[in-house]
Amino acid sequence: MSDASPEEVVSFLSMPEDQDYTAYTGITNFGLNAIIYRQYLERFGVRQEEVAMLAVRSHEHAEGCPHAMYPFKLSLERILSSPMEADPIHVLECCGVGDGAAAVILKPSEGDGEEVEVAAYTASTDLNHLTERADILTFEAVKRASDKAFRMAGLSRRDVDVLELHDETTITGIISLEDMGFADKGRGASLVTEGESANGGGPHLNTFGGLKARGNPVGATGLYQIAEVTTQLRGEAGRCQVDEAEVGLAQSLGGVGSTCAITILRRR
Amino acid sequence: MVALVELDDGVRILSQMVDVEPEEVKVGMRVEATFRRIREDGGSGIIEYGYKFRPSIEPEG
Repeated sequence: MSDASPEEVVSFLSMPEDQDYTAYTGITNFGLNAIIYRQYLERFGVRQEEVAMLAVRSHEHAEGCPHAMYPFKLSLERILSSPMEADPIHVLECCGVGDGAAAVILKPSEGDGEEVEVAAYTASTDLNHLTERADILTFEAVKRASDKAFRMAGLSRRDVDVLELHDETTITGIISLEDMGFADKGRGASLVTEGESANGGGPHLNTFGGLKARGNPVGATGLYQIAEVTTQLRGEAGRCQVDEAEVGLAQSLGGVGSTCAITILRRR
Repeated sequence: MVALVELDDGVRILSQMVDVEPEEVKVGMRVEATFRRIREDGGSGIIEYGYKFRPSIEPEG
Protein backbone atom coordinates (compact mmCIF):
# COMPACT_ATOMS: atom_id res chain seq x y z
CA MET A 1 0.00 0.00 0.00
CA SER A 2 2.90 2.38 0.63
CA ASP A 3 3.80 2.25 -3.07
CA ALA A 4 0.63 4.16 -3.90
CA SER A 5 -0.10 7.88 -3.65
CA PRO A 6 -2.70 8.96 -1.06
CA GLU A 7 -5.16 9.56 -3.91
CA GLU A 8 -4.65 6.03 -5.22
CA VAL A 9 -5.10 4.58 -1.74
CA VAL A 10 -8.38 6.42 -1.18
CA SER A 11 -9.53 5.34 -4.64
CA PHE A 12 -8.64 1.74 -3.83
CA LEU A 13 -10.43 1.86 -0.48
CA SER A 14 -13.52 3.21 -2.26
CA MET A 15 -13.62 0.38 -4.79
CA PRO A 16 -16.16 -1.77 -2.90
CA GLU A 17 -18.70 1.00 -3.42
CA ASP A 18 -21.08 1.21 -6.34
CA GLN A 19 -19.19 3.04 -9.07
CA ASP A 20 -22.21 4.17 -11.11
CA TYR A 21 -24.09 5.90 -8.33
CA THR A 22 -21.76 6.33 -5.36
CA ALA A 23 -18.26 6.93 -6.73
CA TYR A 24 -19.88 8.98 -9.50
CA THR A 25 -20.69 11.71 -7.00
CA GLY A 26 -17.01 11.96 -6.09
CA ILE A 27 -17.53 10.64 -2.58
CA THR A 28 -14.89 8.38 -0.99
CA ASN A 29 -15.34 5.64 1.59
CA PHE A 30 -14.27 8.16 4.24
CA GLY A 31 -16.93 10.53 2.87
CA LEU A 32 -19.59 7.84 3.35
CA ASN A 33 -18.29 7.33 6.87
CA ALA A 34 -18.65 11.07 7.37
CA ILE A 35 -22.35 11.00 6.39
CA ILE A 36 -22.92 8.23 8.92
CA TYR A 37 -20.86 10.05 11.57
CA ARG A 38 -22.76 13.32 11.21
CA GLN A 39 -26.13 11.61 11.49
CA TYR A 40 -24.93 9.51 14.43
CA LEU A 41 -23.87 12.55 16.45
CA GLU A 42 -27.14 14.30 15.69
CA ARG A 43 -29.52 11.41 16.34
CA PHE A 44 -27.98 10.16 19.56
CA GLY A 45 -26.77 13.50 20.92
CA VAL A 46 -23.28 12.05 21.31
CA ARG A 47 -20.25 14.36 21.27
CA GLN A 48 -17.46 13.79 18.79
CA GLU A 49 -14.98 13.79 21.70
CA GLU A 50 -16.62 10.59 22.95
CA VAL A 51 -16.48 8.77 19.61
CA ALA A 52 -12.88 9.85 18.97
CA MET A 53 -11.80 8.35 22.30
CA LEU A 54 -11.66 5.03 20.47
CA ALA A 55 -8.65 6.33 18.58
CA VAL A 56 -7.01 7.52 21.81
CA ARG A 57 -7.47 4.09 23.41
CA SER A 58 -6.18 2.28 20.34
CA HIS A 59 -3.02 4.36 20.34
CA GLU A 60 -2.52 3.70 24.07
CA HIS A 61 -2.64 -0.02 23.36
CA ALA A 62 -0.28 0.20 20.40
CA GLU A 63 2.42 1.86 22.48
CA GLY A 64 5.37 -0.47 22.53
CA CYS A 65 3.77 -2.99 20.19
CA PRO A 66 6.57 -4.13 17.86
CA HIS A 67 4.36 -4.70 14.82
CA ALA A 68 2.25 -1.54 15.16
CA MET A 69 2.50 1.10 12.47
CA TYR A 70 2.05 3.96 14.95
CA PRO A 71 3.27 2.60 18.31
CA PHE A 72 2.73 5.77 20.35
CA LYS A 73 0.03 7.64 22.22
CA LEU A 74 -2.02 10.41 20.68
CA SER A 75 -4.06 12.88 22.70
CA LEU A 76 -7.71 13.65 22.02
CA GLU A 77 -6.74 17.27 21.36
CA ARG A 78 -4.17 16.23 18.78
CA ILE A 79 -6.66 13.93 17.02
CA LEU A 80 -9.47 16.48 16.92
CA SER A 81 -7.20 19.29 15.76
CA SER A 82 -5.82 17.27 12.83
CA PRO A 83 -6.99 18.28 9.33
CA MET A 84 -10.35 17.10 8.01
CA GLU A 85 -10.36 13.95 5.90
CA ALA A 86 -14.09 14.24 5.26
CA ASP A 87 -15.93 16.62 7.58
CA PRO A 88 -16.50 15.72 10.46
CA ILE A 89 -13.86 12.96 10.27
CA HIS A 90 -10.36 14.12 11.11
CA VAL A 91 -7.35 12.47 9.47
CA LEU A 92 -6.26 11.06 12.83
CA GLU A 93 -9.66 9.37 13.26
CA CYS A 94 -8.94 7.25 10.16
CA CYS A 95 -7.03 3.99 10.03
CA GLY A 96 -3.35 4.02 9.14
CA VAL A 97 -3.10 2.41 5.72
CA GLY A 98 0.21 0.61 5.31
CA ASP A 99 2.01 -2.56 4.39
CA GLY A 100 1.85 -5.81 6.23
CA ALA A 101 1.36 -9.54 6.02
CA ALA A 102 -0.05 -12.13 8.36
CA ALA A 103 -0.45 -15.88 8.30
CA VAL A 104 -2.30 -18.46 10.34
CA ILE A 105 -1.88 -22.21 10.36
CA LEU A 106 -5.08 -24.24 10.72
CA LYS A 107 -5.03 -27.89 11.63
CA PRO A 108 -7.51 -30.50 12.82
CA SER A 109 -8.02 -30.64 16.54
CA GLU A 110 -6.05 -33.60 17.86
CA GLY A 111 -6.07 -32.83 21.54
CA ASP A 112 -2.29 -32.56 21.44
CA GLY A 113 -1.96 -29.52 23.63
CA GLU A 114 -2.65 -26.84 21.04
CA GLU A 115 -4.11 -24.00 23.07
CA VAL A 116 -6.39 -22.10 20.71
CA GLU A 117 -9.44 -23.37 18.86
CA VAL A 118 -11.82 -21.75 16.37
CA ALA A 119 -15.12 -21.56 18.26
CA ALA A 120 -17.00 -19.87 15.42
CA TYR A 121 -16.50 -18.32 12.05
CA THR A 122 -19.35 -16.52 10.27
CA ALA A 123 -19.87 -13.98 7.52
CA SER A 124 -22.85 -11.91 6.41
CA THR A 125 -23.67 -9.24 3.88
CA ASP A 126 -25.93 -6.20 3.66
CA LEU A 127 -27.12 -4.03 0.78
CA ASN A 128 -24.00 -2.49 -0.69
CA HIS A 129 -25.56 0.90 -1.32
CA LEU A 130 -25.82 2.99 1.84
CA THR A 131 -28.94 4.71 0.51
CA GLU A 132 -30.83 1.41 0.20
CA ARG A 133 -30.51 0.43 3.84
CA ALA A 134 -33.41 0.95 6.22
CA ASP A 135 -31.10 2.72 8.67
CA ILE A 136 -27.62 3.92 7.76
CA LEU A 137 -26.58 3.82 11.44
CA THR A 138 -27.12 0.05 11.70
CA PHE A 139 -24.77 -2.46 10.11
CA GLU A 140 -27.13 -5.42 9.60
CA ALA A 141 -24.27 -7.58 8.35
CA VAL A 142 -22.48 -7.10 11.68
CA LYS A 143 -25.64 -7.96 13.62
CA ARG A 144 -26.32 -11.13 11.68
CA ALA A 145 -22.74 -12.37 11.59
CA SER A 146 -22.20 -11.81 15.30
CA ASP A 147 -25.55 -13.30 16.41
CA LYS A 148 -24.77 -16.40 14.40
CA ALA A 149 -21.20 -16.57 15.71
CA PHE A 150 -22.23 -16.43 19.36
CA ARG A 151 -24.87 -19.13 18.76
CA MET A 152 -22.31 -21.30 16.98
CA ALA A 153 -19.76 -20.87 19.76
CA GLY A 154 -22.29 -21.27 22.54
CA LEU A 155 -20.88 -18.15 24.17
CA SER A 156 -22.31 -14.80 25.27
CA ARG A 157 -20.97 -11.27 24.82
CA ARG A 158 -19.84 -11.27 28.44
CA ASP A 159 -17.46 -14.14 27.73
CA VAL A 160 -15.35 -12.08 25.30
CA ASP A 161 -12.11 -10.86 26.86
CA VAL A 162 -10.35 -9.48 23.79
CA LEU A 163 -12.00 -7.80 20.80
CA GLU A 164 -10.23 -6.69 17.64
CA LEU A 165 -12.48 -4.17 15.92
CA HIS A 166 -12.58 -3.08 12.30
CA ASP A 167 -12.13 0.59 13.16
CA GLU A 168 -11.52 1.92 9.68
CA THR A 169 -12.71 5.17 11.20
CA THR A 170 -13.68 5.84 14.80
CA ILE A 171 -17.37 5.81 13.91
CA THR A 172 -17.31 2.40 12.17
CA GLY A 173 -15.63 0.98 15.27
CA ILE A 174 -18.29 2.44 17.57
CA ILE A 175 -21.22 1.31 15.40
CA SER A 176 -19.65 -2.16 15.13
CA LEU A 177 -19.47 -2.38 18.93
CA GLU A 178 -23.17 -1.60 19.13
CA ASP A 179 -24.29 -3.92 16.36
CA MET A 180 -22.25 -6.81 17.76
CA GLY A 181 -24.34 -6.37 20.89
CA PHE A 182 -21.69 -5.02 23.27
CA ALA A 183 -23.57 -1.74 23.75
CA ASP A 184 -27.02 -0.30 23.06
CA LYS A 185 -27.48 1.94 20.02
CA GLY A 186 -25.98 5.33 20.73
CA ARG A 187 -24.00 3.97 23.71
CA GLY A 188 -21.01 2.41 21.95
CA ALA A 189 -18.75 5.33 22.76
CA SER A 190 -19.53 5.14 26.46
CA LEU A 191 -18.05 1.62 26.47
CA VAL A 192 -14.79 3.25 25.40
CA THR A 193 -14.89 6.44 27.48
CA GLU A 194 -15.86 4.67 30.71
CA GLY A 195 -12.94 2.31 30.30
CA GLU A 196 -12.99 -1.24 29.14
CA SER A 197 -13.61 -3.96 31.66
CA ALA A 198 -14.35 -1.25 34.22
CA ASN A 199 -17.37 -2.24 36.32
CA GLY A 200 -17.34 -5.66 34.70
CA GLY A 201 -17.97 -3.88 31.41
CA GLY A 202 -16.91 -4.70 27.90
CA PRO A 203 -13.96 -6.56 26.46
CA HIS A 204 -10.46 -5.18 25.92
CA LEU A 205 -10.56 -3.41 22.56
CA ASN A 206 -7.87 -3.30 19.89
CA THR A 207 -5.20 -4.65 22.18
CA PHE A 208 -2.43 -3.96 19.66
CA GLY A 209 -3.88 -0.71 18.35
CA GLY A 210 -6.49 -1.87 15.86
CA LEU A 211 -6.67 -0.54 12.31
CA LYS A 212 -6.10 2.91 13.76
CA ALA A 213 -2.65 2.41 15.28
CA ARG A 214 -1.47 -1.08 14.39
CA GLY A 215 -2.39 -0.10 10.86
CA ASN A 216 -4.58 -1.35 8.05
CA PRO A 217 -2.75 -3.39 5.41
CA VAL A 218 -6.22 -3.87 3.85
CA GLY A 219 -6.23 -7.45 2.51
CA ALA A 220 -4.02 -8.69 5.35
CA THR A 221 -5.93 -6.91 8.11
CA GLY A 222 -8.45 -9.66 8.83
CA LEU A 223 -5.69 -12.20 9.36
CA TYR A 224 -3.70 -9.72 11.44
CA GLN A 225 -6.64 -9.56 13.82
CA ILE A 226 -6.88 -13.35 14.07
CA ALA A 227 -3.14 -13.67 14.62
CA GLU A 228 -3.34 -10.99 17.33
CA VAL A 229 -6.24 -12.64 19.14
CA THR A 230 -4.38 -15.96 19.01
CA THR A 231 -1.28 -14.28 20.45
CA GLN A 232 -3.38 -12.88 23.31
CA LEU A 233 -5.02 -16.24 24.07
CA ARG A 234 -1.62 -17.92 24.12
CA GLY A 235 -0.34 -15.32 26.56
CA GLU A 236 2.43 -14.28 24.20
CA ALA A 237 1.43 -10.65 23.72
CA GLY A 238 4.25 -9.16 25.76
CA ARG A 239 3.51 -5.69 27.07
CA CYS A 240 0.18 -5.71 25.18
CA GLN A 241 -0.96 -8.81 27.09
CA VAL A 242 -4.43 -8.82 28.64
CA ASP A 243 -4.75 -10.77 31.89
CA GLU A 244 -6.44 -14.14 31.66
CA ALA A 245 -7.70 -13.83 28.11
CA GLU A 246 -9.85 -16.89 27.43
CA VAL A 247 -12.04 -15.82 24.53
CA GLY A 248 -11.25 -13.42 21.71
CA LEU A 249 -13.22 -12.06 18.80
CA ALA A 250 -12.02 -10.60 15.50
CA GLN A 251 -14.42 -8.49 13.46
CA SER A 252 -13.68 -7.60 9.87
CA LEU A 253 -15.68 -5.30 7.61
CA GLY A 254 -15.80 -4.92 3.88
CA GLY A 255 -17.09 -1.73 2.32
CA VAL A 256 -18.99 0.62 4.62
CA GLY A 257 -20.53 -2.18 6.66
CA SER A 258 -21.70 -4.11 3.62
CA THR A 259 -19.92 -7.33 4.54
CA CYS A 260 -18.82 -8.59 7.91
CA ALA A 261 -16.80 -11.61 9.03
CA ILE A 262 -16.64 -12.64 12.68
CA THR A 263 -14.18 -15.13 14.14
CA ILE A 264 -14.36 -16.26 17.75
CA LEU A 265 -11.34 -18.01 19.17
CA ARG A 266 -11.17 -19.78 22.49
CA ARG A 267 -8.36 -21.04 24.68
CA ARG A 268 -8.79 -24.67 25.51
CA MET B 1 -19.79 18.35 -0.87
CA VAL B 2 -21.93 15.21 -1.07
CA ALA B 3 -25.24 14.71 0.74
CA LEU B 4 -27.68 11.90 1.31
CA VAL B 5 -30.88 13.23 -0.25
CA GLU B 6 -34.33 11.79 0.45
CA LEU B 7 -36.80 12.41 -2.36
CA ASP B 8 -40.47 13.12 -1.66
CA ASP B 9 -41.39 9.54 -2.56
CA GLY B 10 -38.93 8.15 0.00
CA VAL B 11 -36.14 7.13 -2.39
CA ARG B 12 -32.71 8.10 -1.11
CA ILE B 13 -29.75 9.01 -3.32
CA LEU B 14 -26.29 10.44 -2.94
CA SER B 15 -25.66 13.71 -4.71
CA GLN B 16 -23.35 16.65 -4.77
CA MET B 17 -24.75 19.83 -3.21
CA VAL B 18 -24.20 23.11 -5.04
CA ASP B 19 -25.00 26.80 -4.65
CA VAL B 20 -24.63 26.54 -0.88
CA GLU B 21 -21.87 26.81 1.70
CA PRO B 22 -21.19 23.63 3.73
CA GLU B 23 -22.08 25.33 7.02
CA GLU B 24 -25.47 26.34 5.61
CA VAL B 25 -26.51 22.75 4.93
CA LYS B 26 -28.79 21.36 7.62
CA VAL B 27 -30.37 17.93 8.07
CA GLY B 28 -33.95 18.10 6.81
CA MET B 29 -33.57 21.20 4.61
CA ARG B 30 -35.60 21.27 1.38
CA VAL B 31 -33.51 20.78 -1.76
CA GLU B 32 -34.21 20.49 -5.47
CA ALA B 33 -32.47 18.83 -8.40
CA THR B 34 -30.54 20.90 -10.88
CA PHE B 35 -28.82 19.95 -14.13
CA ARG B 36 -25.06 20.52 -13.87
CA ARG B 37 -21.68 19.66 -15.28
CA ILE B 38 -20.30 16.62 -13.45
CA ARG B 39 -16.84 16.18 -14.98
CA GLU B 40 -14.75 16.55 -18.11
CA ASP B 41 -12.83 13.71 -19.68
CA GLY B 42 -9.71 15.75 -20.41
CA GLY B 43 -9.38 18.83 -22.56
CA SER B 44 -10.96 17.37 -25.70
CA GLY B 45 -13.08 14.57 -24.25
CA ILE B 46 -16.72 14.21 -23.30
CA ILE B 47 -18.23 16.67 -20.87
CA GLU B 48 -20.57 14.75 -18.58
CA TYR B 49 -23.72 16.33 -17.22
CA GLY B 50 -26.08 15.07 -14.55
CA TYR B 51 -28.06 16.01 -11.47
CA LYS B 52 -26.86 17.86 -8.43
CA PHE B 53 -28.99 19.31 -5.65
CA ARG B 54 -29.28 22.86 -4.34
CA PRO B 55 -31.37 24.46 -1.62
CA SER B 56 -34.98 24.69 -2.81
CA ILE B 57 -35.74 28.11 -4.26
CA GLU B 58 -39.45 27.44 -4.61
CA PRO B 59 -41.62 28.80 -1.81
CA GLU B 60 -42.67 26.04 0.54
CA GLY B 61 -46.29 25.03 1.04
